[in-house]
Amino acid sequence: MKEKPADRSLRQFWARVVKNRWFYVCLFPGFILMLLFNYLPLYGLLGAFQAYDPFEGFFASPWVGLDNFTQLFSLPDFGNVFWNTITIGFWTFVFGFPAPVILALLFNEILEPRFKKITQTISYIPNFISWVVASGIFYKFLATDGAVNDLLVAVGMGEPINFFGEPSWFVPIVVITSIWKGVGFSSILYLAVLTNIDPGLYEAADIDGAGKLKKIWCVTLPGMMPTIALVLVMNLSSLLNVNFDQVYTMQNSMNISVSDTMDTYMFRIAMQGQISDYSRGMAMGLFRAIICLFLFLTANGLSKKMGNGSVV
Amino acid sequence: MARTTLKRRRHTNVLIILFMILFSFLCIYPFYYILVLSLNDATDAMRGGIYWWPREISLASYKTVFRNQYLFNSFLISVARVLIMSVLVPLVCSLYAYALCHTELPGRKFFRWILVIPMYVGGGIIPFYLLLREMHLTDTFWVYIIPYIFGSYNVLLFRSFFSGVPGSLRESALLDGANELVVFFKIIFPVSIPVFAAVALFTAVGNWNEWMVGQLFVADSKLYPMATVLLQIIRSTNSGGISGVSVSQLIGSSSDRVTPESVRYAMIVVTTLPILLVYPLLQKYFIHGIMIGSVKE
Amino acid sequence: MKKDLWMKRALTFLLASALAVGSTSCTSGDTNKPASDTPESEPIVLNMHRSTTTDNYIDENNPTYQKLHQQALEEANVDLQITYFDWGDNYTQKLTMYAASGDLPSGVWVLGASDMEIINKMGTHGFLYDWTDVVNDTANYPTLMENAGEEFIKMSVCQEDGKLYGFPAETHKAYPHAPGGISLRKDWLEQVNMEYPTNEDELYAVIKAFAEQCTDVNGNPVTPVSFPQWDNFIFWLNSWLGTSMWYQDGDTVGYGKYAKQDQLEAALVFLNKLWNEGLMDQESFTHTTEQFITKGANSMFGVSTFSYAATYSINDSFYAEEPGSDKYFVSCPTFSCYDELPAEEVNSVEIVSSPFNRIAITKQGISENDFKRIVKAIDWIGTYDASLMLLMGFEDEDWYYDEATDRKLRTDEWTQKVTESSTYQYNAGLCYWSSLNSNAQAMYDLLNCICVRPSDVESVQNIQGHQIAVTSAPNVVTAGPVEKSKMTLVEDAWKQMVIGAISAPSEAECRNVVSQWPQTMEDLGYNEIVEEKVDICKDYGLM
Repeated sequence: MKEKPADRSLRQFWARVVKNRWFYVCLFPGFILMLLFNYLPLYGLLGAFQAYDPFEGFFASPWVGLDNFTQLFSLPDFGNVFWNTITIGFWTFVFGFPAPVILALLFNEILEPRFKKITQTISYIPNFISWVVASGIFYKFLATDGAVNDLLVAVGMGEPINFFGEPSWFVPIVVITSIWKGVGFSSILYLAVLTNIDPGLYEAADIDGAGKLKKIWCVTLPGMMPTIALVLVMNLSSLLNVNFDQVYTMQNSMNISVSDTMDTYMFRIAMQGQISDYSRGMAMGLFRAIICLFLFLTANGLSKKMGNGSVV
Repeated sequence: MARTTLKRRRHTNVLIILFMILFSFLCIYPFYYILVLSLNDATDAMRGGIYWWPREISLASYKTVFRNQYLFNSFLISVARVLIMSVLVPLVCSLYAYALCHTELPGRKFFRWILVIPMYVGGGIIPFYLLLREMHLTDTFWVYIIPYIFGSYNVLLFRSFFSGVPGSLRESALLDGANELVVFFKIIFPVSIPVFAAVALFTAVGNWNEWMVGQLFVADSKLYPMATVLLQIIRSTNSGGISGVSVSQLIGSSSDRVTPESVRYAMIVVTTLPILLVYPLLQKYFIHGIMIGSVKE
Repeated sequence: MKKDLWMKRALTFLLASALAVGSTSCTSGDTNKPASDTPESEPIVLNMHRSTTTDNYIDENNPTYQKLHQQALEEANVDLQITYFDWGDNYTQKLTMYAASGDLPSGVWVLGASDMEIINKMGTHGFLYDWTDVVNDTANYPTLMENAGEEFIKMSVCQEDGKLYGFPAETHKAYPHAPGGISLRKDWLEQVNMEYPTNEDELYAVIKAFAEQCTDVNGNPVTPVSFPQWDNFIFWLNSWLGTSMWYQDGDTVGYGKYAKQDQLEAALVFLNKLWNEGLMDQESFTHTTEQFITKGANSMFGVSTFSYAATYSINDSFYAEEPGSDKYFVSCPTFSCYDELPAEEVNSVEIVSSPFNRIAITKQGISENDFKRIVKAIDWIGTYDASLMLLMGFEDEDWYYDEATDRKLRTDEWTQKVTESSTYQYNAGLCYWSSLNSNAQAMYDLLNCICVRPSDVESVQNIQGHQIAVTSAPNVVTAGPVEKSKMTLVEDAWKQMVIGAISAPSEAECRNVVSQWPQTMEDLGYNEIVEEKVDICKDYGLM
């Protein structure tokens, strides 16, 4: 009896599976963990569509459909808050994304190994200072009678600037402090990738008579491209996930019009310490997740178009 | 890479050196400032004006931190947690990523795309907690480990790195009769040490500083990691309330008084120093990038 | 193509199975486990959970905690284990997790309206013991009823379906306590040779005098008024508003901060004047508490609101510099800026909480008999006197045993002691308050016990003026859904309005900003909140 085509392709399929069995062994531990701890709890998303009551559980709490979401969007300042989040996220990205790359490139140019080692170690120290403390320090230094203003006045800039009282200073402060805190630590990743670039390529470039900048452009950056693309896509998709701690500790009543992000707004408005807010929190989380996924797919698509392949 | 430029110049660009010095100063000064304040008497520190050297040296903040009976224990827990995670996380994630690199794997697309959803979508804390309870992980050491081993971001990181590794390396090993696992450990791993070191470092630092899991899912104080314990120390020294220790001090000398600020600073120093000491040891993995015995293109 | 299809199918299957498995495992846990009785000789382990702010966190080494633990063990053979959780997000998450999983602690304290909601829910779902039947047998409860009346009982504990889920504590007709809203530098007051201000004009005069005559540590002139952001800033406004919280005026109910338009305008105009004349630190609303403390410690201002963390810290630093000097902030006796405030009695009833006030006992691991034993324990410890005993110490001579009531009561000597206590002294403006010299502070934190005063109307009037009682029906009932969803929005808008008014460039502009407030308030749903509040009070039988 001749083998049916369907049977044959099935057989071929299993043959391929068996041939690649070791890969499945590699996948196995991660896959199981992910299923268990990431996918299984997803049933909690149902809470976004309910008035969740922890005593009833997810399957007996009353359903409210999209009420949580409409409540969310009809909060008076939601539009403004959403816009603030995007603004802060955008500028942090525009300046904060290239910074570690540039820093890694600079580190790469340092020839004295000890100087390099020391500056590298120092550069990521800010990462270990929590935002609560870091903000406290910035407040001190940027106060109207603080060190920075003293410097400005001494140099002849006139009146001291009330950095934390003027709304227009908020975004620059957030961006600069974000960079200060994260650039050193993030550059570690790029350095790791940099060091793996084949030295032969540099030699070849030398032979072709390339200058320093040209070498960076033609050898270094392309060599880092997969990682850069990955981080780019990840950062773009988390545009909305502005760091809560950072913004919350730096916002105050006078700059709140620009410093209120979705997280801090929800925290203030919904923080009555009540069970009922679980649903609202879930609704907010789901809303953000959808936007992030959308941004991710867009950025990923762009990355594919630009020849870097899909990040996933 | 440094070797070629050595032929051209004898020292680094001066501008770069200046920039690095300025940058390093900006990075280290806040930490130095915290160090100075933590060594200063707390109430004197309140008066401000201290920038370079403590005005009234006092070890009270550190004493408060070290007096906590759980501190030493939590240190051990944190160290154990960091060591275990720094090994398991890169291992599991890189294995997964390695499998993804193989273009002919059936179901590859599936395994790639299921990584995306967990990165952004979560079910919230209640289902997670219920799951942990069912698995009897709550109130044990393993609650810090098992749920957090796998991370999509790490997998993608490894994958992007592995995709840059020439396929010829792998093929030459397979020709010698090795299976995929052997290829991974003997060929791919040695070549990718920098990225393994980077992920291990990120994992280590993340786990060292993480305090929420202990607070939410663990009830036994003996199982708290250091970050959680330190947070509690701060809370108990607020000047509105008095911890048992300072009551006796209040009546006596004033030199042992602390404020939450000063304890917070001491805490930062205590938390950061171990990492500062460990990292330089790892740095060598970032400096050497030689492909041992690789096949020249 | 086929691969895509399979992939989509696989993903859907994954999500569906997540839902399915989740549904089977998301039970509310094992509740109502039948617990066995603890033998008489062994102590009952009572595992209590309590939310706390950073201000009153106490760990096991705290002598207060240890005293309480000891008393519970001695008097009633109850082993008390208290676990604290940060108020707010973390605590709610914890309680929600307990509720979802059924892993409840033995007992939960009820501190505020949000706790009450959770307790009521737990009660109606059958997790809690009902106190209704047992309270009448306690020695404490009848006295409570006599002193405060049934209304108070209804007000102060959770009682949703007619059952009593939290144990009410005894009240005592105590005088309202300071600290009041305004705190001043005591030594500066003496330097400018003035008395405590008793009205708005005098306050302004004192502030001006400070500006003209006082200097900071560097010898520079001062900007006399400063606040630690919003921290207790509202207490300052109480001089104009009376109360910033809910008040009840016959059949009307209102929220003091929002509803008293004229008084609010008067207050904000005054503050606006200070702002524009350079008498108020313009960083008040933007600097951090730490910066505020630094400024205070450097004598850069002399008038502020009372704030536990900030004022105590500043006083601490002064004391550290020069123990026993007159350099400290002291609470200014409260005064009223507006005569037509609703008449409040000086002798107002105030809730004095004892350690076991509003405690809810869960059925988790506590059997019926155990519960009865616990009731006995709480009967004594829950009394006001017991609280005071724990507060002031265990010296026998302060207390005598009264056979009639089968309780320990305090003596006159104790009253004398109180007059000499730092708490009283501070409130009388006689000394500084600091965490340094008050053991009472420790007890305050644990017991939530308000400071005590001698029952001397005259002295109180000399010191205090009239302070508006906080206790009124709308303040203690649970918040309904409308209030929960709208109140923070109104509060937010209120803060913005206040900032706008205070920092307005001229008085006219200030008044303009304030005049828009009633409309804003109405737009955000304040009237609905009030309506709901009245309904709830009526449900509780309090109106």
